[in-house]
Amino acid sequence: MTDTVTGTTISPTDHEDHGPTTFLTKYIWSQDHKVIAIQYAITAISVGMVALALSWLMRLQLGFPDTFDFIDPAGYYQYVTMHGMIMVIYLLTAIFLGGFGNYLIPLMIGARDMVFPYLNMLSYWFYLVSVLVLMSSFFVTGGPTGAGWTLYPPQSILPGTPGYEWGIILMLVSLVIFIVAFTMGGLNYVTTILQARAKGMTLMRMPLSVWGIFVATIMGLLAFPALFVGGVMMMFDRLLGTSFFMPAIIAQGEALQYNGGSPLLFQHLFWFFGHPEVYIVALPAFGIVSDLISIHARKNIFGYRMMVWAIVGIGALSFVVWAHHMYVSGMNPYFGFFFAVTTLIIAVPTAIKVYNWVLTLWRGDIHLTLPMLYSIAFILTFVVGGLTGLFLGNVVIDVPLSDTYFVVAHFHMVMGIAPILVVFGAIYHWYPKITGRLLNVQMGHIHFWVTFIGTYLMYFPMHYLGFVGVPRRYFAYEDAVFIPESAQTLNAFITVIALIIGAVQLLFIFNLIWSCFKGKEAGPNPWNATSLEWQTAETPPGHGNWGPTDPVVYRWAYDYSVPGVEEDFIPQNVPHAKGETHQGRDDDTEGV
Amino acid sequence: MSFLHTLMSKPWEVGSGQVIDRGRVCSTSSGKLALTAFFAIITVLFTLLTLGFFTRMASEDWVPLIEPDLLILNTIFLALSSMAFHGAWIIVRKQQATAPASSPPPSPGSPQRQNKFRNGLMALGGVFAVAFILGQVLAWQQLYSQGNFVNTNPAITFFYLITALHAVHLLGGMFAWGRSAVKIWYGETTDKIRQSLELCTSYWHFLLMLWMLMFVLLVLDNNGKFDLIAICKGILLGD
Repeated sequence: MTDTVTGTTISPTDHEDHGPTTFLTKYIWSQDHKVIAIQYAITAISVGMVALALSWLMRLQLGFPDTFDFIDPAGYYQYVTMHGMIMVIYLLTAIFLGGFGNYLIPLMIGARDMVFPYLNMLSYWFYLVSVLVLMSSFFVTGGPTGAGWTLYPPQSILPGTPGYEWGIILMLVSLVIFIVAFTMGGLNYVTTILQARAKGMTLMRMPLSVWGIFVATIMGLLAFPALFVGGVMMMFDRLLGTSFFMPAIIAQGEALQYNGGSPLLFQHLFWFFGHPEVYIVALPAFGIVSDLISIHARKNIFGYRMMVWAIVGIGALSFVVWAHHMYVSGMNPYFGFFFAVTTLIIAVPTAIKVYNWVLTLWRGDIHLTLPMLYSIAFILTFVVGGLTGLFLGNVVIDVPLSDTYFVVAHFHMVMGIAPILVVFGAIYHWYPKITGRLLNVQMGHIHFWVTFIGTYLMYFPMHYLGFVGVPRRYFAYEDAVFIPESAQTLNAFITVIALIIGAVQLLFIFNLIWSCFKGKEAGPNPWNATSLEWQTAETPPGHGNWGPTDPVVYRWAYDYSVPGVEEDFIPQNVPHAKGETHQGRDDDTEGV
Repeated sequence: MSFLHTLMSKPWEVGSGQVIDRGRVCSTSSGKLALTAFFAIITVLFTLLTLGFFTRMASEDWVPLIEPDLLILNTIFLALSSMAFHGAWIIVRKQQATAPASSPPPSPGSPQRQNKFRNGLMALGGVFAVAFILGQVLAWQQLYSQGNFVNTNPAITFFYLITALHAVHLLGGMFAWGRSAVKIWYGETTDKIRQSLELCTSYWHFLLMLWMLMFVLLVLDNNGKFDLIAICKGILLGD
């Protein structure tokens, strides 16, 4: 049943116009969305491992200060900066949109490829160049920038900040190249979803993964220009001595050439990008986790329409909350009040999504597979991170907690750990389609439990550190009398846990490689899923995805456990049986 | 079907979407849709630059810039370039209306003259665009020779930045123009030439409109006397 592709025959030439013929065109200069997706994912995971190693170095210093001679204050700030930027931009954004977006969009909507395959290929190579430029900053005079991932001027481009010489320049150049890459890829994703769906695949029949990626991409296309403008202006300030962001400054008794610039302007530009960026990472995660929960609980998603509306609503609202990152910047208090209100409003559609995930699990046939474990872990972690966000969204609570470890714990839970748990869940889920083999379950369980429990052991104490006033961005706290001894003990504990969690990620990487060759054969549809990517003629799908016939879609992606149907799933490309009705199905969905 | 109507449909109902959806939201070509999305991105980019311009304009060190007169001539060049593309597009549209889409461009008689005219207009569009870019470079040179360096004061910095970013976008358009020229050179079908020209024409019109807005912005500079500026300053800087 699952091998059957019900569809219409198309001319063979329709999908062969960019077919690979040599090793180079098939695996290196490939225009096939699946190969590009894997290229994106491998690059993102590789650079993510660098960021992970940097976090180890940071934690070694914080947990055991005065122990490691090779970590100096400048190095520490460089690790912090590069860890943050790599994780947010070059790992999470790239893997969700470049990796999963590229792999899943055409397969899930029944297209043969992206509408602009050449542009898609260019997108990856620009991304790779941006990564290489960023990595090159480790090898230049002064090393990478240590300005903090927000790159706030004036300190980011002043002598004395680590990486002043070349690091900051390479960082800005790399970001500009990344934005060009993202724009090329993003235009492709949006156009493909709007214009290249299979017959019958209405927008409201698309799996929520595609909806999440779609809205996140639109957000990225509209938000990244702010970072682009900020980056270019800062480059002007650094290289040409202009004063977009640089006020009059006296350094070491000498007046610098800068005058009249506004550092706050940069903060506005940065966070106009930076806050939507949170949802650029979160929305694909929301979409993917919705699909994982539905598939592994064998139940239709609760409130599909409301889930779509919530994704669109969150996407729109995320553009009017940016200044809640700037409550302590000295801006007008009325401005802060406005942003506190919008921040609380955006919690509504987000909460709707959480309720709907829980209600999808309710009375479902829950299979505790690895993707399901990761999905449940995501819900818990996202709720914890989201709740602390309510604290920080309010001006009066944010002001005392600002720049403490409470903030570090909050954003790691909500946009670090939560999305990465979805990345793991999604990899365990779609790996069989990508390679034809299942990931090793034993290794997967070790990876899951250590990661999941470990993150809580790491970040719960961090909230406490924030409450007692331990500030973030400090190399050492030796002389701070207000920090109790117990805080240092906790820091050492967190470091040990962080090292263990980091080590178990190496097991995950090993599993990815080992299972590729030795993993159990998966077959075409190991999870008995309904969405189109599991209905391809070949596994892994060949070039053009669908063989000689295009799929035709007859139903939504959530026909699980349909009453009166023998199988507990009905693929999207299976026509309705004569007399099939939706009567008797859970009424949960229909009210929304 | 409107987007709102789409969002209201109930996909779980048997029979919903019985009419097979073609999988496209509109009949527009993918290229045109992507270009429209790109316009949105460029609009955001220049809107942010404009906001930055107004914010920075409110500061005390802002010295109004007297823009070179050459910019008026450059604007005329860009307008002529845009008109030339529009003319070429009108011709190719007429050609397509009278000939089957899959056939190569007709060669003998009057259609041949039409082809020549179309190609001439396209070439002219490119030449005027190059003239615009060279004119902008010349304007930079004039400013530079007057001692107006990029870091002299913020008004000049914005002038260099905005004109440079606009020129970069036009250079990107020149790449597309080159591809269209190659298509014509290799005798592509009228349909393919039309698609290519349509995108070029839209892009040129957009860049012309954008330039005119930016030109107005650059000459609007009045030493921070606008109430609007005071409002922006109050909101953004908390003054």
